[in-house]
Amino acid sequence: MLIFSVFKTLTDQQVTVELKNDLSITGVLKSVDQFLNIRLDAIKVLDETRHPHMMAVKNCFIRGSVVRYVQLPAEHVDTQLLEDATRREAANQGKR
Amino acid sequence: MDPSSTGIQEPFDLIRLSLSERVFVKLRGDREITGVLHAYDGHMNLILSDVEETIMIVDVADGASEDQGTVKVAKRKMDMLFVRGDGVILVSPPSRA
Amino acid sequence: MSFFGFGQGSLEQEKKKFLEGGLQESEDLAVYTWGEDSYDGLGDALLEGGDELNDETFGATGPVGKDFDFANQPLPESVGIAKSKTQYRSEPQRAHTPQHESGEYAPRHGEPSFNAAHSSLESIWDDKSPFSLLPRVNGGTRAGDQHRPSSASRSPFLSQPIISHGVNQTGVRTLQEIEAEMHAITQQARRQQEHELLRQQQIQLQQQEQLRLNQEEQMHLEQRERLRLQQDLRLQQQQPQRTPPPRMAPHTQSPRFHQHQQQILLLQQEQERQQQERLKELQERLRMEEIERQLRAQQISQMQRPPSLQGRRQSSYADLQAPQRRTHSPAYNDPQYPLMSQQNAQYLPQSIQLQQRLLSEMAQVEFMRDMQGISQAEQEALRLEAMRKIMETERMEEKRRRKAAKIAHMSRYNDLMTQSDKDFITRIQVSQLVTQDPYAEDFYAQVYGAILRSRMGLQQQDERVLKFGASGGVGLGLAQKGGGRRQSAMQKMESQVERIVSNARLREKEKGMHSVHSLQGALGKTSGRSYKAAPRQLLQVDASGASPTLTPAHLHISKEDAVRDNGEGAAREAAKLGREALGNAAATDGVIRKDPLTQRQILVTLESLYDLVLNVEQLRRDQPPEEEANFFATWSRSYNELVEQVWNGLQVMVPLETSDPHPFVSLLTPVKGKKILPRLSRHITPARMLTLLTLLVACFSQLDVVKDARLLEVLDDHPERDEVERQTQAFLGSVLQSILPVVAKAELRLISGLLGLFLDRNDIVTVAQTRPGIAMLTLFLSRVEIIKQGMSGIPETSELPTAEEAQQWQLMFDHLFQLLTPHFPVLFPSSRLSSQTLIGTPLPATDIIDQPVWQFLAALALHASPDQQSTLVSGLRDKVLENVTSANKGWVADEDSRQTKLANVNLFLHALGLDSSQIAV
Repeated sequence: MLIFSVFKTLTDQQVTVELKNDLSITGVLKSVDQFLNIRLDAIKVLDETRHPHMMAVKNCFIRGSVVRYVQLPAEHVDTQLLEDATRREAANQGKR
Repeated sequence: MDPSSTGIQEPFDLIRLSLSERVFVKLRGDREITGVLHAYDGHMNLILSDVEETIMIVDVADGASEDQGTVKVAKRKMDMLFVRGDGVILVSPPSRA
Repeated sequence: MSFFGFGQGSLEQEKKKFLEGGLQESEDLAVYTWGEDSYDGLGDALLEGGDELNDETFGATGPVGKDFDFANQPLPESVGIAKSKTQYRSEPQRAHTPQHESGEYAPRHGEPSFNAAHSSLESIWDDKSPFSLLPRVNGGTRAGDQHRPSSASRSPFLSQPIISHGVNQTGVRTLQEIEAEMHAITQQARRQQEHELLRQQQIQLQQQEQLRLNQEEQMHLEQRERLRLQQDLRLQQQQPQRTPPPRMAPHTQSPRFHQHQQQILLLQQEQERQQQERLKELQERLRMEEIERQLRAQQISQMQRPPSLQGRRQSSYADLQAPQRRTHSPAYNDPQYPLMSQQNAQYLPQSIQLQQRLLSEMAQVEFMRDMQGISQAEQEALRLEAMRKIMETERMEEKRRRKAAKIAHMSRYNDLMTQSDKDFITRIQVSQLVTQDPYAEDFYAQVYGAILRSRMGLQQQDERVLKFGASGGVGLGLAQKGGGRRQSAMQKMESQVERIVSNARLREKEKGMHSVHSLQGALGKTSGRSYKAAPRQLLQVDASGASPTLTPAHLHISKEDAVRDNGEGAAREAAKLGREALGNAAATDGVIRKDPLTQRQILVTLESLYDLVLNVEQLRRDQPPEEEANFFATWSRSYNELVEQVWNGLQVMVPLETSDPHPFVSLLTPVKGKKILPRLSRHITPARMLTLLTLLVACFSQLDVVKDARLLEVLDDHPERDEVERQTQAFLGSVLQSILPVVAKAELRLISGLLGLFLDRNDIVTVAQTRPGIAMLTLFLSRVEIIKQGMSGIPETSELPTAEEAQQWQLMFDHLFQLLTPHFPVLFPSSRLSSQTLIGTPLPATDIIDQPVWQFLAALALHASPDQQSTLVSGLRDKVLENVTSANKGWVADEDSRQTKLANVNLFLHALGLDSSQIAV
């Protein structure tokens, strides 16, 4: 739930999603769910000449499992808080 | 309170020690990453900052045997990166100089 | 898919089995495997030629003469196939139906009625009426003449080979069509059929013309009855042949399912029977009406007509009926719609009824036409019209059937779960997804939202910010700015979920803390054996004998560590206690030296500290109001306990000489160690913080940021340099920030003491060349400056430093100044950098990193005596001139860096009462 929680705070921010097939899509994060499926708006594919079939696509839904990386806007991530949240979750996991 | 006797009970506790430390992450597809670890979860999803990714690309020339290929190394840097856990092979603290 | 129903071989087997009475189990299998194992390959052996005579055969070449050869005249294909199929398909059907159903079926379809049909068959054959068409199927083979049934009691089984043989022989054209139908598009096939039907109609008409004979009413009825019977049989035999949906393969079903199936079958048959009876009634009435009408007609015509007319009328009526049946038989037997026609067998009676009604209408029309003596051509047109109507009805029916089949196909999983089952699962899913404790499950988003809101200084206006943290649970509160109705639905859902969750919580509490296990098996149980069958422990070694302290979790800790910890834990404890009693400044005799903490120990300690801090912070949020004395007392006890643990964890009280670096300094090495300090300092008493500060000052040169500071002066972009930079930033931002309040309240005496300690225990020249060192010194000097201002400004302040204290400070300051004097220029990072690099290499922008040094020198200048000030100026003259010159002569990258340079110099000069503009270049 931690990562989901993080992505929730990043809605309406610009992110770059890199898929396992090396396709990189930059767009505005519209929504995310607990499987980390991602919906992007106003997308732009990094190497458009290599993926001409993506030129007409303006928004997309990405299945979480095909994601390799998501580049996040660092200024919208509170790393201190993130570490705390991770510790809390780890501690909670340990208790169970 | 003896510090070494507390805490570590399972592998994830070791990763926890590396929180906010620089870590080395080996990934599927001949990729490696170093970055400062800020978050992880049970799936090994990670959030790292100040990331440098290294991709090993083996170019096997036509006719050459497989181990004769040249290894090309591509590097790039990223500010803040989420890494999906299913690609993670290992997470370790970087070797200290 | 079986067109013939059975291969020749399997039919023989069926017969044998039937005779042996052991048919039931294998019957279905034989049907489903047709074309694979038991397919005899007869289809491949067919003669595909001989089509050129088709036209002649089917009568397209005009009226066939009186010498019409019945033996070679095949039936119109579809009818022929349907009938013959019906004939021999009915065998296995009848063989197993007794086992399937009660006796009510048997009397109707048993031998007597069938035999009756057969006996009448003979007579029909003889009088060659158009209604004898069907019986002719049986005998309509070339061989049929020799094999003509001679006895009415002939067993139907005996005729089997002959019938199928006949079909194979005369049905060349038919089989071809089958082939076509198998592969061609549906539309094409159907059109072909329609065409075929029309042709057949023509043939029949011709036959009628020739064979018009007087027909007995009895004969007519019998014929009809027999047709009906055959239809019945067809209907019933289709049922066991249904292609079951994948899940319903008969052998995979439970006996209960079979029973159910049979019940359905019985029901359907019962329904059909009733339908048939109703039909019969209807037909009876129809017949009566017709007779009446005929009588009336006869009266009207008053013997004007020849007697043959009535027969003709009747035959035309029957003629209409016959194609009518034929029109739907292709649908039954069409290989492309087997499932559909089978699935919809129960709907058939209705369509029959419909068609019957149509037929009666047709009959009336026919009758009227006869009355008026309409020409043949017109009759033909009318007939075609009727056919068209019938076909249309047929098509509609087909469509409906297909739809029904689709629905039936989709609905086979209907009602597998009850509503309460579904509710149950929904509840579990929701309760796992939603929580009422957002701080536990959605900590990051909740706190981040709160921080953002407070940073932006808004309450609740900003939808965008609030969106991810609007309401209690995970996944909820994501409601878009939708319409009001959606909103209320969302609220309803939320309240519902809230209830569900609270109920689940209650239940969980009742069950104790086994929250994970409470859901175990909730969605179904695995067989109880699976978890009991876990591998048994084979070796049972008494663990207590081995090592009492090393639990498995600690095994990976090196032995060396363990031994040392065990051996020295007590000693350290004692030393700590002694140290505490003596105070921090006490002598360092008798302290047992240890190795510094390992990286791993540092990290483990820090993580446990973080746990403590998180707990403390959580406790702080839950602080009860002080009025509730009881709660407050309990709360403050646990709070203090935690804070005590935190303090102990920091290891500040460990004797100064225990190790190098001191454990506390070690803990400050990682970034997270530096970052935890401000969070801890909030909970630690000022006195303890002062102790902490003292320790920090005493061990300043042990700090990583001081030791590694030289790495910052490496020019090229090196990872280690970046790391030191990160650490330095963290130190300045966190550690110095947390001691700032302590210094800001410190008295002059204390500052003097700290400075003394600083100078005493550290190599001040080295430390002053680091950013943390400069910052620390600046901090002290600024505090004293403020104290001095307070002295001059508000004399009546109670805490004025005494003269003695002031003197002590002066002593310390003089000492510092003296130590630094020869090194003023090298305090600047830029100077150190330029001395390293070759002349001519461009320096990076150093003005920013020089700035703290200028600041420090300014502070130094403020405290300095006039003598010291002139020393300062002479020591720094070159540096000042260099800056001013490059700024004025434009040896700078841009206006910004020029401004910075001047600002830096002015910072220092202003402290001396000078300005850069006064310097003549």
